Amino acid sequence: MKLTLPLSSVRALAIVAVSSRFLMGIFLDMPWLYNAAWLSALGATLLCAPLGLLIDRFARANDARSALEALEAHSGRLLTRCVSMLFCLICAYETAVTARVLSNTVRHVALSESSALSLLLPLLLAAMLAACLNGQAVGSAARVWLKFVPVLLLIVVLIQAKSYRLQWLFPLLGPGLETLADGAVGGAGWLSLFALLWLCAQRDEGAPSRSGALLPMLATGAACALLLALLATMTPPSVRTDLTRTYQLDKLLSNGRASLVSQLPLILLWYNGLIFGTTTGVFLSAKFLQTALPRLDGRLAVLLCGSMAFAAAMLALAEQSAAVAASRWLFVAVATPTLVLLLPPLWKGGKTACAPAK
Amino acid sequence: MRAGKIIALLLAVACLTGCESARQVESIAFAVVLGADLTEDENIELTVQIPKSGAQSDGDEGEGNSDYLIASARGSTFTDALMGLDITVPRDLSLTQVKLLVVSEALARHEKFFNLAESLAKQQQTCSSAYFAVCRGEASAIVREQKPVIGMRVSSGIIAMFEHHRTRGYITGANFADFYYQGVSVFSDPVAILCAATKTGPEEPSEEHALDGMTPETVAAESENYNEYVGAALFRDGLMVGILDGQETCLLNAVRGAPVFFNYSLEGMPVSLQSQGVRDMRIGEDENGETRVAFSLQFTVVADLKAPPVETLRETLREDLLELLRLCQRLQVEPFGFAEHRAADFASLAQWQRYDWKERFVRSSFDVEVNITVTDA
Repeated sequence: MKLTLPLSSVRALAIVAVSSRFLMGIFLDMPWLYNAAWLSALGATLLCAPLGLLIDRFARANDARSALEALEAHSGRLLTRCVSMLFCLICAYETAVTARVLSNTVRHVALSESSALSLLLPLLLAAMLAACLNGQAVGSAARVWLKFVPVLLLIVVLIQAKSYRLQWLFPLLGPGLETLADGAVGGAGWLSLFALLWLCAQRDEGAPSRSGALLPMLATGAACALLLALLATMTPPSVRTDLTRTYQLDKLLSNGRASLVSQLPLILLWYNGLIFGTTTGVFLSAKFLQTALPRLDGRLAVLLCGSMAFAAAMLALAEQSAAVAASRWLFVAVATPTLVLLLPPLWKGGKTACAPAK
Repeated sequence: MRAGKIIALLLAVACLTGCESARQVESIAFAVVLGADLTEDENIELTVQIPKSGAQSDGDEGEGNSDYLIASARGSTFTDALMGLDITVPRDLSLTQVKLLVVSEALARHEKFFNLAESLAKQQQTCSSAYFAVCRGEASAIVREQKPVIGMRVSSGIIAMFEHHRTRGYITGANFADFYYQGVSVFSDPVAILCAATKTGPEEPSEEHALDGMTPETVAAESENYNEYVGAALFRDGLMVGILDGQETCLLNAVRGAPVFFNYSLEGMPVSLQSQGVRDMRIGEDENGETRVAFSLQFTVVADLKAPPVETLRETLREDLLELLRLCQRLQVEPFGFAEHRAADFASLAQWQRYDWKERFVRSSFDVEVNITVTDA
């Protein structure tokens, strides 16, 4: 089975999956950004913009069905496969972190006495099953879900509107420029997963003529920054509280200041976002594994990557401190190989890429 | 292959944690009121009120015949006391539906209070949307006496009662989340609702009028409802440091921008006032480096049978307001929300903390203007 991700579905999938990872990372795992997390999100968006631009330029300059295929033609199989293996590991790790946060949420909200195994295994099994149905199915589900997201968000904002206090956005720079810049680099790592999705996408008949990565990436980053700003107006900045995921989850989902009615749409948004994040992570990781090892069956690749993510999620590797430490290198780990692979063909051929390597 | 997928799907469904480990409603005891007291040996005593599912008492509220179970447990910490409750209540105790959290004044002034608040805030299943009150006397008495006196369930009755009290300005309307987040924030200090359980009020009302000088134990009234809620408890650095009476609470609400409608007495003449928020707030240092807080407080006064003398009313209100500000300065508490306003002038939290607002507030001078609009409705 060959894993494919149609270009017509990639935008919805990227917006749904990456936005949840981006929000989760910045709000849950970096609470020391306090009331200025939204500025870090904006910074991350700006940092990622050149990456999106590069992907778009490369895609326009090549007629190949997918950027990965074009890369294999330009940069040679070995290099492309090595980079694909790196991206596979990155995606598996990000899947593990997302799955871990989802299990943390379930544990916090309802099943405090359940083991990590019983929380993670069904989730990853479901994600693997969905990934086995291939990119078309996952992407189409994301397209349907994306139609509900704005409505649910609007309901939440309207219900919570009375609880927002704009004064809590100040002092504007929160923990200071250095910490914000650090947060922006971490955030850029999560937002750069957009680029990986576009690398895997394959042109199909249903794809819109303007299906670039840059615009959705910028829009997602800006929308997430706005949501983070709204979240900052729900609680005053504190420098005394402990900064665990559970504490932040509580602020995000139940808070106590907002009407309890807003919890249902919030929970729906949060769970579905994370489920899409996990499923997309498993699929993407498997897709890169299949690119690195082309003879590998898609289902086996999904099983291997899902198992890898499960193992990582069961270990301390996916906990908050490790995820934040990894986030400092994630953007470099995604952007550097992408630049190394994509820039030379563009430089050599200007807007039109050079002839494929033999 | 299709059969394999179906088997895998069924296996996954069988593993779903929601089916296997979910807690059913019948197996959970949902507390609606939680009280915390400090015992003589400085331990924590927790008391909960839990509705008995399906109960319908016949009016005889004798021992064991109520629609509500009252349970208490003691421990050296909140967690220990909660464990005791968990053992004595014959179900899985849940605090997620708590509508009222009451802490005795003795505990609120004790160093154990902050740990209790932290433990409550970090509960796995939080009760942070509950109203938060400090009681004069024992919190367990409040829990026992919180009854559905006019036909509602306790949980609905509490919400209706506090909504009424909040719009009339008797209380600050703070829930535990407001209190806790404000308490650990870098801004103004938090306040809580003040309450007391009194079977009979004083025989005669105090010489003051309207809400002036009124605290929950001095309400000259009796009814089946023993619990009175009026006034505010002030906190600083995680400890209670003082109280505000009913009138001061109304003025505090007005400065905080809450739209409250309250009775005020102008030398014995009743006046109905409605707060309309604060305008032109300016906080800064003058040429001598002294912090000055200037703002204009807006009120609407309803001229019922007779229009009140506006100038006198303005001056009296201004004096009362300045007295409240000076009281808070003496207690070194800033519950007005000035900090949030001033912090907007700083770039970072570190700069704001170096500015040391609380120290400056204590030495601040005030330039308060009261604007009153007379209306017939």
